[in-house]
Amino acid sequence: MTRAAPGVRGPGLARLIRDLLPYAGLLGVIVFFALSSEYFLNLRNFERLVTDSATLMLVAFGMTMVILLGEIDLSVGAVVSLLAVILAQIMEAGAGWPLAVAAVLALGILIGALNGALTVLGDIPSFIVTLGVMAIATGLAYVFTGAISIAIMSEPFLVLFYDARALGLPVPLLIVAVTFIACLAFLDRTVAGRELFAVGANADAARLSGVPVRRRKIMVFAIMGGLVAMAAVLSAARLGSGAPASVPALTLDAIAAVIIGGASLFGGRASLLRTLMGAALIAVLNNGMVLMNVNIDLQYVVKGMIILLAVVLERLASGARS
Amino acid sequence: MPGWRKVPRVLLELSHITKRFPGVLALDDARFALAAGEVHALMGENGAGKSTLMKIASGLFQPDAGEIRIDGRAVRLSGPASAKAAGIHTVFQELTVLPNRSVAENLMIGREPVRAGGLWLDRGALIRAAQRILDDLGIPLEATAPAGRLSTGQRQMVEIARASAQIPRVLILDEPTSSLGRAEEELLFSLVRRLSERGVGIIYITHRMSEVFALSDRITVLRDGRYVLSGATADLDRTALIRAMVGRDVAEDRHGTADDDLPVVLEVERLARGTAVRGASLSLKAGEVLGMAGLMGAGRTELARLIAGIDRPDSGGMTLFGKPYAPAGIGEALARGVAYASEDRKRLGLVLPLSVADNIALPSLRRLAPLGVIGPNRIAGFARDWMERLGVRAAGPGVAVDTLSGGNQQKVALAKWLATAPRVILLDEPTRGVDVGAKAEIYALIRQLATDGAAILAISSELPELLQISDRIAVMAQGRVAGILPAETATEESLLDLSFTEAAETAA
Repeated sequence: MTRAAPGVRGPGLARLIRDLLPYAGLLGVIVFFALSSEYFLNLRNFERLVTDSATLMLVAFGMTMVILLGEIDLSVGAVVSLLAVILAQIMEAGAGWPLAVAAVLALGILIGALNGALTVLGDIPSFIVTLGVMAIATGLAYVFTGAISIAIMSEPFLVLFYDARALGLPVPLLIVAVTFIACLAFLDRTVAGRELFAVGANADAARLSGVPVRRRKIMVFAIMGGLVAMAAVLSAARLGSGAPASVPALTLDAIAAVIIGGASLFGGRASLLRTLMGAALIAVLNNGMVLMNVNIDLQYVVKGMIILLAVVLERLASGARS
Repeated sequence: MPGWRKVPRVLLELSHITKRFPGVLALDDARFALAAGEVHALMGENGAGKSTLMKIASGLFQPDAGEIRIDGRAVRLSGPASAKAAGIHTVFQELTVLPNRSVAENLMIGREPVRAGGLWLDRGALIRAAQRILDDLGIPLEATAPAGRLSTGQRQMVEIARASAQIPRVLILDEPTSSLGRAEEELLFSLVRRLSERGVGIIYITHRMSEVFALSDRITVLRDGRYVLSGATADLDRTALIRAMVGRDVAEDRHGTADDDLPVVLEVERLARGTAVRGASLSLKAGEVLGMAGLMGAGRTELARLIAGIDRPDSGGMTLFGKPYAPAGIGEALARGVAYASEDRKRLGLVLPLSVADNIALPSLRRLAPLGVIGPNRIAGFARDWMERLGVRAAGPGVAVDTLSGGNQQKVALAKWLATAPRVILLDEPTRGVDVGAKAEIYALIRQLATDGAAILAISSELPELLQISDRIAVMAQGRVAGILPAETATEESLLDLSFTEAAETAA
């Protein structure tokens, strides 16, 4: 949440459209699917939509912080699959679910920190680092499984992370809500969080102001890794298994959510609340297109066009100086 | 025609040149004339308009008014290409040698020998042609050597050779020796002489007096964008040049009084880093403004960065409040009470898209929130307080800094550092790009900070400004502190004279 007015210059109309896009877009797709599909507007579907989108939400929150720094993480989808596979295998080997979850969380944070460390210390664009990690994670997931999915038998795990309710709400929704509030508080109310805005907007000035720029970047990638691991837990519970390439559209969807939320890919401007709206829009789109039996390949085309639209709007709004 | 050699043929003539940038009149009816075969030094203080004039001569800038004549014919240099076509070549300070290519490829870029109707590059011919150019100019380089391995000086040679190969009529060298070693300098001088003997007119911008006298035939001096004098080098001496460069009546009011009894806060001893800072020593006293003068490239900013913990010195040491001080980073310098406000407000000083509050609080966040948690209201309140103290005019602390005027931005850039409660304050060009009113306010602020007991180092390229705000003025030249004068008795002339101190003189 930035209190600072972002990129104040630039054509007013484009800025208005950019800022309203996540809200108007969300409202638009909800109205569209409500009118088009009799199955869309009911509580059961809504609950399913929310539970199904928990994975995307968590990853999108992390991606917001990564993009805020002007970086990108392309490895998230592959790492979610890999961690889900490892989770399933640890449980298959007889370990209890708490141990498996803890191990996967630690591993996720480690992979994230590694992404950050390679980017920062190797002075390599995060685009390339995470592209490499994506390939490695995908490869490992296939190597570990022999390309088949590993079923998760632990009943308590499956119940807790998918079906269970607490305070009358599905557990995945609760996890998303708590994570959202935690991320919001981190960005808005901690020294490190405030510093991220400065690092993203002008890393040189931030460094000269005593901000440990490299440490902040590694930290954000590590947080992203933790969120990816949590996403892997929820994803494994929902699918009841760990399998390679289990979330093929996740990376695309997460980046799309952040961009629809009006973030600048050059860093310095991003908003969690608007990412939440962007992610909800993608989630509704995913859900609605399935209900309407839209061909899966066509779904990609629709989402790709929405991303490009959002990016063009962002450039126009920030007054893409000629 | 007897004695025709005696009358220099005017090759390039710039007359009545005026160039205005937003807020600055960079050139005001300036003129300059260059004869064939002469080495003509162009001199002046920082901001006198030398570089602007040369950028006009090389087609990079268009003059707002004035005339350019080549061989007596009026021309319009619409861009670098048209200047080159007219035979005017320029070697700027920023080198354009491609490090991943060989010397030969760099030399022949755009003019590579080809075969088969332009499809094939003739590598053999390329290397032979390049080597011929190098040998002809007496440059000891292998055409096949990768340019990436060359020293800065050698790259400069390649640049000059590239220009020479295109048979220039005028060659402009902008501070060519600023990064050269002794041997390379000699080589450059003989290269310059060789080219002038061939009839090339050479315009030489430099800050080194000794070079001017050793190398040039004529000298032109600019001041505040205006032409001051032009004459044969043999008829001029150092004093005359410095008087010409300063030449204003100085009757500004001065506040400064050097006081020997003030306690020394920071002692800098023989600090050195690379070629920019070569053993600089000075001391800052509590309650005193030490001004710092020097020409571009004298190493003032680089020295300030060492004191501020941004860069690490190669050698030398510092003492702060009687204890050894060798900051490992900006964080440590800040914690010890040393703050540095950069000269480059937009790139290094402020985070423009963020709010005034976020900018002011940024370096203080850790001190304000030892546990790492801080609310937006606290940040806004903290910032509002500092906005009031410095008189920042903005709608509120939540306003983005890039919507403010230059003067108000500068106040925010100062506020952010003053808010860290520093005891040593390093101000680098504190009034750059600021209007007259804001300037006066910033001067008053600097004096007030000193009165409150801070030790202040104020770097400025405007001598009247230094005379007005400082108690003592240190002058840097070629990476060393060439001298420190009490502001009461210093004059622009005495400061500029020290600015032209050369390495051999300070080393003694």
